Amino acid sequence: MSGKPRRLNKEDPAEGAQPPKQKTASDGASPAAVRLQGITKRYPGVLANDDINLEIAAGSIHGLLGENGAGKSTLMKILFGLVTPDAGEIQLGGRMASIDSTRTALDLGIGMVQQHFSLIADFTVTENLVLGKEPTRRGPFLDMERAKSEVQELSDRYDFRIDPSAKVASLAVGARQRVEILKALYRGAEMLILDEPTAALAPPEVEELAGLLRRLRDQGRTVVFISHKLPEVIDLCDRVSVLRSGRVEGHREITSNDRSNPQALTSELARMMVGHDLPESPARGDAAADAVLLRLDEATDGGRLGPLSLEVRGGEIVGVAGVEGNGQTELVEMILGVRRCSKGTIRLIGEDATRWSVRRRLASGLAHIAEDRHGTGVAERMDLAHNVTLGFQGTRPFSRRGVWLSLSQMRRFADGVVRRFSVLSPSVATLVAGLSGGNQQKLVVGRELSRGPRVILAAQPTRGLDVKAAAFVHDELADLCRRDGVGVLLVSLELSEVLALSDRVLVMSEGGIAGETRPGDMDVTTLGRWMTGGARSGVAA
Amino acid sequence: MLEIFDMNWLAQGIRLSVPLVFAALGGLLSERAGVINIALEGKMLAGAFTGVAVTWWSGSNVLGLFAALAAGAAVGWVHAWFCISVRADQIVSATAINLFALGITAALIPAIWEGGRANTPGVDRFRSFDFPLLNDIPGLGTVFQRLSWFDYAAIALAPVIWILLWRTPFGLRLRSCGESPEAAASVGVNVIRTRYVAVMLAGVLAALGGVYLSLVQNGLFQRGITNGRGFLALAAMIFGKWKPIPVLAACLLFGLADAYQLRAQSRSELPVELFQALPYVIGLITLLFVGRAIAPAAIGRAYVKE
Repeated sequence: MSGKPRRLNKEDPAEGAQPPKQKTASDGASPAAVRLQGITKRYPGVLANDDINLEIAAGSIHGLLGENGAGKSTLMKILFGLVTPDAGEIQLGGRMASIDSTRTALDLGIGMVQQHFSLIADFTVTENLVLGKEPTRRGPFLDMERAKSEVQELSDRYDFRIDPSAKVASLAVGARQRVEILKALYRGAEMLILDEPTAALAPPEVEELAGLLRRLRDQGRTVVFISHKLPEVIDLCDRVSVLRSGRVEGHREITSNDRSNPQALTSELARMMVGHDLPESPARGDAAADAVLLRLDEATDGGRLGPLSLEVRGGEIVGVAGVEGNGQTELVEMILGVRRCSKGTIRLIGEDATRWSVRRRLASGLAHIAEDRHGTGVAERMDLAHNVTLGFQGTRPFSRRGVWLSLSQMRRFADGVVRRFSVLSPSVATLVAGLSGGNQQKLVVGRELSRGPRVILAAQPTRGLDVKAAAFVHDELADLCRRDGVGVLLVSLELSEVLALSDRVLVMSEGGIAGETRPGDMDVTTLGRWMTGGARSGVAA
Repeated sequence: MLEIFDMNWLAQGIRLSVPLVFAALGGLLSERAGVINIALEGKMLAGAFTGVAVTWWSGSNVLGLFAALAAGAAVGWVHAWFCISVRADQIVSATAINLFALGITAALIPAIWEGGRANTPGVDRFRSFDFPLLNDIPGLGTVFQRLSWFDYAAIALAPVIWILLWRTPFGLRLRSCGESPEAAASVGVNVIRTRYVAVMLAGVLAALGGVYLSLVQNGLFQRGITNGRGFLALAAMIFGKWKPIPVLAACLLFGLADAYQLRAQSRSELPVELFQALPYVIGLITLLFVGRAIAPAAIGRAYVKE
């Protein structure tokens, strides 16, 4: 932020342009591409990084594991020049480096793919890649032909399967992410930092990404993989460092033995992450055959969604699995009432709700955990108390005679949600924008579950949550189901989440329901066929 | 009244659309870089006035022209400073510029030219340009005879702007500032400087549109001579979806409709106002067909350097 030079670099301030290459061929063990020593970063009230020492070997995939707020992202932002540390030093290839901006990081061969992509949607892949260092011909003119062939060549070399002429806006999330990686490589990144790269990906896309990262490693590049998902880290990484509350809990080599038999390592790493044993997943009982609370009959939006039929009974969790972009978002929107149901019917708790307004649906007991937290889940520029009561501002006890807001009632309710769902926030008068993503999500989930719902539309309810918080949300959903007979429609791109929680699983493909199964008698091949049945691979043609 | 559609109508329509073309293409540059430009009206007025004033003072309309372009760049700089450096609201600062330009040009007429109230004395205006071969074409020749080199320049400007924006590194960077300044800055594009250049170029082009009104068509400056053309240019820019060739087409449509109504109203019993509304009605009807216009993603958003 400030233009002040850092103190990282006492010995040799001029040093800075030494790419971390050309040290692959030393003694047996891989040399360190990066050595972080004593990195400390303090934010008001939080010690994000506390004296962190970390070595990342060249030509390896290094996992950085930790819960939300453990300090993984901060540490990597320091390495990428986005954040200036209060103390500590960075060595690249054995030399001190002063990384004061992302430009410097890029010049040093460090690239980072962040959770929010930095691509321009209206530009083609090639335009995005060459922006800032455009090839020209005949003086001032862009040489798009050369740029395209360069991009194509790079894409082919690592099998990215990206069309250089495709507009980024037309690409699926997984493909956009590959473009982001391609962009870093195009700019000469020897080392790639990926911040929670699988958060928005469906299982086949995760596999694809893993394959790509292995190919990059095999060609000598270094990859840092930030995640809080244990199975992915164990499967992909050569070495893992675990962070907890801003400190390094430990490092661990991952052997092929660990990969074939991951249980022991999983619980060891989970203990390091959380500080104690993981809570058990909720036990699955038989769903009570209660009344049907939500029922769709040949409902369609007249476009790409449906017609489809489904029902959710009280005391039952119905999971909806599928590759992203196969109508899950539209389904949730239609049940919520922001998308028109042009044909067919939607019945809510025994009544025909097809033509009901959103408000009436919510008032009759529908709750909605929004998939897109930033866009629809919260109003970031409002405080917690307002966010928690939003949508119910006109009803008691939050408002008197539908006119006067009762701030004290709103705050009391918000306090309850914050406590019960352990949302980390200085107070309920804090703007939601000041909360971390995980805490925002806890707030959204807490708000919806605290309203005494009868039917819960849970769209990606644990997106961005750490293991502990995700387990807590799962427990709450299961509890509401068992105890209060609530019906839950759980839409998730995480197959493991759907399978762990649901009584029945529906698989969506191309706007319809491709099949239904129970987690007990699941057959992976069939499931895979349903999920990909004619579906897009996420690659532009 | 089909007999209105003749060569004179065509020539007049082109001439009426030219000030719109300059201003709309200027607005396009500015908005593609992410700065909303409803200050086109004010920039046109500044150009129109300065052109006449300097021509009157120096006796040279060429000098007047260049002074007008400089004035456009200066007003553009002021607009850019408010929008980019001060990060003021872009609509508010542009409105202030429009009102200020209208007021100051009107106030300066009696201050400089004693006795003059609403308009300046006449000055030497730019004449039509003789294109030896084209002028002799039967029929169409009448059109070319009535065009000045400004008219040819306006039509040629659209493809030039297209090449600038889509075929040069500068254009790619300019558009990246309008789509995602943060992404642009992260790869080393100087967002602040690029936006300044774009808004100042917009000022120059809008001033050129103003000069056309005063130094080409009328040979004098009149209070409020632009009469809303800056806003019409803005509408044409949106009709054209921020793309140079469609923007040119939209301006021509407005100009031809305007020429039609000017000629039709003198031959009809119907109220003049009905005819005057014609270009706008046509604009609204075209809106039904052009579909949704998608503005640059980061338009109107100030960029805060990290």
